[in-house]
Amino acid sequence: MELSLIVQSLLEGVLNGSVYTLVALGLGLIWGVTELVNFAHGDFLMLSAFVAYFLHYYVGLDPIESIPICFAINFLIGFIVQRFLLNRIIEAHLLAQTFSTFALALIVRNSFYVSLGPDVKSISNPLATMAVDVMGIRLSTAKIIATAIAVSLTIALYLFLQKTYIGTAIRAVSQNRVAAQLMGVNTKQTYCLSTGIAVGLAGVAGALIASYYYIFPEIGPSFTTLAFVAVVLGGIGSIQGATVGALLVGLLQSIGALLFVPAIKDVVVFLAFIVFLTIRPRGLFGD
Amino acid sequence: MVGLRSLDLKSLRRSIDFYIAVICFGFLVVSPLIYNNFFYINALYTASVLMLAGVAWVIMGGYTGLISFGHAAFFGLGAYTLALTHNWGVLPWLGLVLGGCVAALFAAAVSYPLLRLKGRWFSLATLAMAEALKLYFNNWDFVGGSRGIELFRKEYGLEWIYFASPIYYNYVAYAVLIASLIVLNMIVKSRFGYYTQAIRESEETAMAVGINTFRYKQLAMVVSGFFTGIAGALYTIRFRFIDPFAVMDFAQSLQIIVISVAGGIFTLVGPIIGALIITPIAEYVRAVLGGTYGAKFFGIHMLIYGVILLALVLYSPGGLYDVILKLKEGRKRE
Amino acid sequence: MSNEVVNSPILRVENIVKRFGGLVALDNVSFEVREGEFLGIIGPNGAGKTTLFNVITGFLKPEQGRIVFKGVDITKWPVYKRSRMGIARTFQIMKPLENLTVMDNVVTAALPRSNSVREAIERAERSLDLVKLLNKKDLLARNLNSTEKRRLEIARALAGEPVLLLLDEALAGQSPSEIDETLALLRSIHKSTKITIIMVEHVMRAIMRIVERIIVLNYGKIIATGTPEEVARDPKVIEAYLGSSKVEVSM
Repeated sequence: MELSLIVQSLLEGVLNGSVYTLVALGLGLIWGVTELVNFAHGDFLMLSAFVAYFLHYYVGLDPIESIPICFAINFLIGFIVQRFLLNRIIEAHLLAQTFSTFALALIVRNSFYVSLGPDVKSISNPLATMAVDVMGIRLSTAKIIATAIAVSLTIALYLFLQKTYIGTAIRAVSQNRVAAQLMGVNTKQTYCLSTGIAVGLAGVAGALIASYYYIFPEIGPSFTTLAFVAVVLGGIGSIQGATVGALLVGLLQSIGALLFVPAIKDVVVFLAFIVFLTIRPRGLFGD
Repeated sequence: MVGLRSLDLKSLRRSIDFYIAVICFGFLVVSPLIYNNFFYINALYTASVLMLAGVAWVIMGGYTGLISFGHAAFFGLGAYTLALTHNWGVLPWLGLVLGGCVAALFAAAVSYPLLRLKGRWFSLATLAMAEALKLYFNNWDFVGGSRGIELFRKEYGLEWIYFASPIYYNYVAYAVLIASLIVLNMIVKSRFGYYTQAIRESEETAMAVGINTFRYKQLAMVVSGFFTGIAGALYTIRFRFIDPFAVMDFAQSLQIIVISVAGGIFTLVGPIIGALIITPIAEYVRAVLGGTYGAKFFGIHMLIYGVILLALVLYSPGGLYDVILKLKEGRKRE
Repeated sequence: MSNEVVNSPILRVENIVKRFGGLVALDNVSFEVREGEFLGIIGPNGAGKTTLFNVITGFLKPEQGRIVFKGVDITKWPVYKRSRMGIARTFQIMKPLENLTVMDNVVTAALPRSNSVREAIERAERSLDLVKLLNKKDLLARNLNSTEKRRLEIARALAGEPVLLLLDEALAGQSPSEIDETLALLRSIHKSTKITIIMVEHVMRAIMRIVERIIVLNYGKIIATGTPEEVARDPKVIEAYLGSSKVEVSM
């Protein structure tokens, strides 16, 4: 196999990984702040991808241009879900917590399935077919742009959490709920905000993915799983962790496709995950 | 914990469990004789298979607190083991047990990495595990890949569990189910039952009183896997064709979960009630609507499951079993 | 004829150092406990008392040092193994098995040291009888009030007939008469069996009355040991507690 093909595949893995970062960060954020695992995370991504699709075909918007709208819509959805559903079950039994987002995922996914059918859609977008050619390595332009946006957003999130009041409140709540409350932070509000942001990020990822990938109701679960693997690999509870973990997942996918058959690349990711869990359950940066 | 009865009537509960089981089995055994409808008999068979898988599921989920979203993996492994051994000439009675063993071994193996994760992360991991296994089987020629496996024709009879008339399959399933229930009941009444429930309530306390929590969680997974594998094998011997999407898909895991949660996850009898009530209705609805809506019906199916689950979990996590208990308690108080 | 040492140390804590990041919670703590002793450990908040218990029982692993129990180095042993060897503890923040009955709570604790469920049930009944909770055995643990829960903790700890009992603030939140009852219970258990008890307490008046020897911890170091009277007079101890409204050194 040519070296350039290998390098191209690995680079693509990194590009894919950076988009996964947005999803992983969201999953990790919800966990960190509310201690809930959002089984529906990937499905919110799917929702946003469809929004981008419809905006493209009915309004003529380019997926990249849809990003602010997709973020806003998903932010609202995340906020509302947290406010009316999840806030109620935060103190409830483990059963309720585990099954609520799970049931939510089913509902979101299958509402789309029922109303729009299982057909695969895609956006025919000049960007999707363009590619950058450097020394025999072809990388899709859409993916490069997606990566650039993902990276900027990751940095923006980091700055937001470090420098703004809301960001600090979010960090405080994720570290110690009671202490944060004592310092005057409205925890319920903070949950809504952080879940909103987290789902919003998944929304951005959805719009980005819409620019170069297929869109159909079943794409949700695989993104949830990939984000989950990323978060565990990187270490539950850490931003750098989620980022590195996501990049690792992208790379593992490429390696899996190279070494075996592309169809089982996710099996490779999972196997690596299992091995990693066995030898280093805390993840790379975990607590 | 919402859902567990707050009145302390252990003996009442014990006798209720028994009566419920008797009533359900009576219904299972007698109704196909009265209502001799092919479709209905099939639905009861599926219900029995789900009952077994469900009871196995609650050993992990309800008793130990390990909520699995990936039971399709055990189900599928049992199914494939039976299919392969059957076609190699092994009697299905042995194949059933082998199916359970393979699933149990797999459970033991994945318990090491998976039990490193706590709570809902564990649950997510079981989901990923089942999907990965399905993907792998779908690309593995040895098991037929996406083409699946079809059981060879054999002589009719009890030896090969192959019958011209479907009703006999049901009685085989019932026998396996009852035997499994007896075994599981013994297991749950032994120290295993005490230890696993302690682990569910407070793992720290369990450790402090001398329970090797990892070992018992692993054991719960192995036992659960074993009986779910048998359930998968039971499915195969009846429907005679399997592929990764029929037996290892998330849909199987979901069905198992829904009937267990609906019936009541903190008791062995819950999944029995749940399966008995939900499965015939689900099958019927699927037959009626499936014709009109085709592929889209599949989505409605899942959508309704999602809504049911959400409602159950928010308002009655103890399931139907809990409702029955409360009714009984109400009457006793008068 | 060999002259066997009658009271060989059943527990030896040797040079234990426990760190949490930069914070040194236990700083080279060493002491011995004789079999059958009734030892008290006191100290201001944050002195490291519960951390010490966690290290002895295995919930925390020390950075340095050894724990030797019945002559065996158990420093690397997991929690459940130590418990099976005969170390029982109660928790400061109680974690009963909420949704199990009182009886089941104690049976579960008796099982690891019993050969059968039946035997465990008998042990559990005796244990519940000791703490006077037998009449409530079929109630769910979550329906007990907090004093009853404390008694349940003790019953649970005793169910396995341990050799060493660690009580972590077992008197917290109890009224004076309840404290008297618990102390009487502990005294009678201590007299009738050869059990060794280590008690961490904040309720000074109570602990001074019942223990034979006291160790005082402050900032992870042992600052004084001796009889209750000696310790009460020790200026280092008084200084450590200065300003704390919990001090009631006069008896």
